[in-house]
Amino acid sequence: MKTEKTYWKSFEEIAALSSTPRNDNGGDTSFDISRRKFLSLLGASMALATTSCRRPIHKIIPFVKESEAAKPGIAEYYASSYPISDHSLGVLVKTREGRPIKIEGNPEHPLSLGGTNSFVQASVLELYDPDRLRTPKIKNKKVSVEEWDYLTSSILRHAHKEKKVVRILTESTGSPTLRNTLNSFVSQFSNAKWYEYEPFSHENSRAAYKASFGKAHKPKIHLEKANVILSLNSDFLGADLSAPTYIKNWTSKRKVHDVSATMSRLYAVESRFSLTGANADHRLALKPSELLIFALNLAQLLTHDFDGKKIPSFKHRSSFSEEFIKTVAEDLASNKKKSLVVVGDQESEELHIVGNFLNFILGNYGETISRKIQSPSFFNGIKSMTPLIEELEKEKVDVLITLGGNPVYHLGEKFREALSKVKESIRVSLYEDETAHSSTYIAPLSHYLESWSDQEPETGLYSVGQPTIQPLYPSKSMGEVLVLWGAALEKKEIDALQVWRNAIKSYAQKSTNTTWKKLLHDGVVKTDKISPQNYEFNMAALESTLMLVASRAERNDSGDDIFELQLEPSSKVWDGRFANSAWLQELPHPVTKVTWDNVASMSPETAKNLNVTQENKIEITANGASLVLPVFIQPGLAQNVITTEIGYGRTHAGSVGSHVGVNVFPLIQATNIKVQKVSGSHEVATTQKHHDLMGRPIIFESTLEEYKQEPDFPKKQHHVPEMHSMYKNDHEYKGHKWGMTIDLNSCVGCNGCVTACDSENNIPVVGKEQVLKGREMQWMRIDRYYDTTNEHSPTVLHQPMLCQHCENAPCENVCPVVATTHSDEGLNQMIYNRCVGTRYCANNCPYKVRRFNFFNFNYDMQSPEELGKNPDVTVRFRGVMEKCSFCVQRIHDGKHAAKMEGVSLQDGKIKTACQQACPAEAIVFGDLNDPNSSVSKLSNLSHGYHVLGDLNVKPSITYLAKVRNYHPNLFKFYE
Amino acid sequence: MEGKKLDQYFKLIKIVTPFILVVLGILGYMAFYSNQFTDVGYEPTQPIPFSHERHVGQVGLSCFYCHGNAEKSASAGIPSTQTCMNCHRFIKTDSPHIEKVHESYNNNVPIEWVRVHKLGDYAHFKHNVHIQAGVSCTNCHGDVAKMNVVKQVKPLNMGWCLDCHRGKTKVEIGEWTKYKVHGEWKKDHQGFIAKDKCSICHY
Repeated sequence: MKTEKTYWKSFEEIAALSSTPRNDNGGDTSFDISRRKFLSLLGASMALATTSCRRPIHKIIPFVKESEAAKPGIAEYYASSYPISDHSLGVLVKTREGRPIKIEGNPEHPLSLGGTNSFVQASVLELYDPDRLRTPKIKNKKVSVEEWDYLTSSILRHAHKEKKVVRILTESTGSPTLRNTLNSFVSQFSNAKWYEYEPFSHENSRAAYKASFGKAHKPKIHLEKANVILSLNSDFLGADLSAPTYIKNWTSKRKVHDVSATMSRLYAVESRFSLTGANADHRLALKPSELLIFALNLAQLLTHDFDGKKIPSFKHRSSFSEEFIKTVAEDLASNKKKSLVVVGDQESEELHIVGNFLNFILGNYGETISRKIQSPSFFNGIKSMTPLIEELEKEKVDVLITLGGNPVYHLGEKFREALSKVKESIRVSLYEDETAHSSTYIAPLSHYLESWSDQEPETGLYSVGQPTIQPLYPSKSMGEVLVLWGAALEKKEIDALQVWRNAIKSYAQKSTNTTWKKLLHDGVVKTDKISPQNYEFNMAALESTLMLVASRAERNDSGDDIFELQLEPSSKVWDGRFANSAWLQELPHPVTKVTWDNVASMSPETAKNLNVTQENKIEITANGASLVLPVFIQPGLAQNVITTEIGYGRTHAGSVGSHVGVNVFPLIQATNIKVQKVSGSHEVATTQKHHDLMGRPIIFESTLEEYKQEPDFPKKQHHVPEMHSMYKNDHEYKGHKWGMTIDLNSCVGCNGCVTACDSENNIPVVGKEQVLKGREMQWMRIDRYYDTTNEHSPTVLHQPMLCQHCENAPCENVCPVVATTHSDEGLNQMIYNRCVGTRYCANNCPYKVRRFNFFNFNYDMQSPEELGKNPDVTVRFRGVMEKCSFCVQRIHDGKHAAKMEGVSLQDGKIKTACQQACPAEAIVFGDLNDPNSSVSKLSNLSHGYHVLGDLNVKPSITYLAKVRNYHPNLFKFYE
Repeated sequence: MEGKKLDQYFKLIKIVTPFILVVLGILGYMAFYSNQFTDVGYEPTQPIPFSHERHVGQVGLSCFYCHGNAEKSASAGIPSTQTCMNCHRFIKTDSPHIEKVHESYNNNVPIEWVRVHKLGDYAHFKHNVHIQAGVSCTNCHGDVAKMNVVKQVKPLNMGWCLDCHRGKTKVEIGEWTKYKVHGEWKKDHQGFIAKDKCSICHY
């Protein structure tokens, strides 16, 4: 870049509102304790100190009959599949002493290839969540399992005999066996129906495919084959259930290792600030109502005519948007068959139709969009639910069974009332949630780590899930419950678990070279069930869209001064189902970096229009509902657009998730809204102001063209002089020297690594109050920097930041008790039992990566939470400093495994938790002393640099600078 | 005058301080290296008076017959009741103690042994690596073949670990038991010298 860029994290920073830097880890050390309490504690501690120090008696309780698998101290991995909605991901479950403690991606699974996301990582916390429903209940009274089974079975038997109306409502599932089980269960009754519901479905996209091609399909997209990608309000890199696969595929065309590299180009047109927009080369912020017109105008630019039909022209607000649409059209047209238009799943049917049309005229079908392979999608949106809701309201349903999901929270008060009118409501769910509170017979559901399952993540690919622990509570999986009820109708006794096991076992016969053992080992089996499809676009679909747009233009309800609302699925709690996961709640949002809340994001201009500032409150009214949300100002949103996340404001989520944020489901269908300022303020816990690097040169970026001329641009952009150390002996690394590279070009900022680190290293959750004080404990953070050089479209850069394991570590010199030292393998070691908590090291760390336990965050752990802790990592106590250890426990495991086998350690055998989770393979760890290791090769690349290299701290982490693929026409806006 | 007085004080301090430090050092050493503090001699009563002397010293069982995990895993493990039953299904079935073993086996109730050797939770020790390096069990557990009731004979504190890892103490090579299950004991022992290696054990 020729001009000097300024990167900034928050408006406070850019406006220099906070003239003094925030005291790291918070200046406030107050804690709630009265004088009396203090004195009594003092007395108690004195009494303890004077008693004998004889150690307590520890018991060792061995097995009676030894298990073949669960050996103490040895980790076992089981292939399984993680289900969410109708999607799934192949995983490996790490178990210790028979307890699952960590989830990793299954490298054998063709869709995950080892990558995971935060949802998967946090599922192990969900298993051990103390708030899970533990016993069956009838009318809020605990009952025995036998009683519950007997009563529900007799209800169903009665309904069967009397030909009553039975309805089953489930969350959506991609499990073929479960779908078969549901269908056959329903067919046992004379008047029973099965509905599935997901608030975020592919309903509109399926309807658009039906209209465009006559087939309600969802073909697989190949981001790895596309040179030019246009996202129309799609967040395929962020809040998308297939995100790990998409990130893997997209980043495979974004890696720059030498000057011969090519990159795909991503354009994002969106009405929110999504992770996909943040990673796009060019991004245009629009109002939600403008998206369709933009898409139609683009189509017109590409086809030059619409059979003479007029479409409303797109209103350009700036020269940038004028240039943008022309450039996109040009770029797409010159990359026919190598381009891809992706429309957001929640967008309207019309926008999807235009998206299909664009892909069709660009010749993408059969190229970047598969003709052979389908991604899972079912008729499971709100439209599929309409008949059921009608029936419920008319009190026509005798028995309603809800399995999983949470329709009362998703569909609101109206559904709750309708549900309460049902004579017999039966519910099986993981938590005693909103729906369970409105049902009569409730029973616990098994977690996916406790049950057998199967999935079909794409056509012809089957993955199986195996239980890795006995159910913690007397719970059953959805499939088991249905099998038991089905048998009860016929008055048969059946072993439901065995039925399911056999069903999964039958997959071993799907492929000739798959045995039962191999199936369990691999977790996946591929078949050749492929039927090529022909996609011929039906122009009638487009015509009806054009008519709709024309009628809308007449009504003219999309003026500039009208406020519009853009809702998005939460990238942390999804549709609210993960609200009780403390790891996910405390995870900073990938773009806003807000924790523990959903906020009304708006641009500074919008805030000015509304006369509000950060953390004021606004009231949004639409559809007869009004909600109060805190204001959060962020750049990059179109004027008068307010965006917020769905999935918050649960009332019965559990002790963690209840009453966090605001439930915006009542506004889900609303577009035009009324907004007004209301009194009061709401503190928003955002981490973007914390751990500031105070404007130092820490990130470098260039364009692909400039990179080709100047591959070592970080060194040119910031000159690092020759360094001299006052220490005589630099460290000698005779054996290994551990190091890491982080490719900023691959990193999309998805937070998968942060959650993986939480899980691997027993990192405590501190809660909103402590986050406000800057005391979050995550060892790894992903810094998000804005660059507003282009005033029409801010660019964003994500930088994962963790302990840099410096050779001349500033933290080591200042520790008065030598609790942090340098190892002969280049690790900056943190010795908890030596640390006395002076916090000098945190003050002296230029990267701000050290975390202090201000309180004993693990003190009130509730059973069975402790079972999920990693036994290889010490659970830290109050008053102890901690930080990234480069997963030293994994280093030891790798080294010891090699030693036991008597071989030398191979590159790639040791993977840190963050590296293992990263779907983009942005993080590479290994031995820098081995010239053939991939980390050595990567860190020697010309665009590698050390953050704050001019401090001569010699970090072990090399960052590969960001290379953007700007289009030459649009380049002038970024200079 | 004032200055002179201060000088005298300093002189006194100069003489007294080292003395105090030495005394504190000795006291500290006595306290923290005492058997009471390190639990040397800890000999708890077990639910069943299992005699290592009988089983190892006289019968000649290998350590790994019962603690086979020590070769493979970080933790050596305590044998399951099943392991006892391998022999005691037939041997000494009339003993009241063996009856307890049978009871455990038949009722599927584990025997709760009292732990003798325990490190701090912040120290991670790996049995398998030490055995792989040829370190005999006796180095840390003493000659259990001569113990009727197992007791702790080594302090198991960090200084004691470092005695070997700094080459101060000669390490006994595993020749003694001759019963390693998988392959032979290593004849030569090359332990690493622990300098700058805190995170080998502490993490």
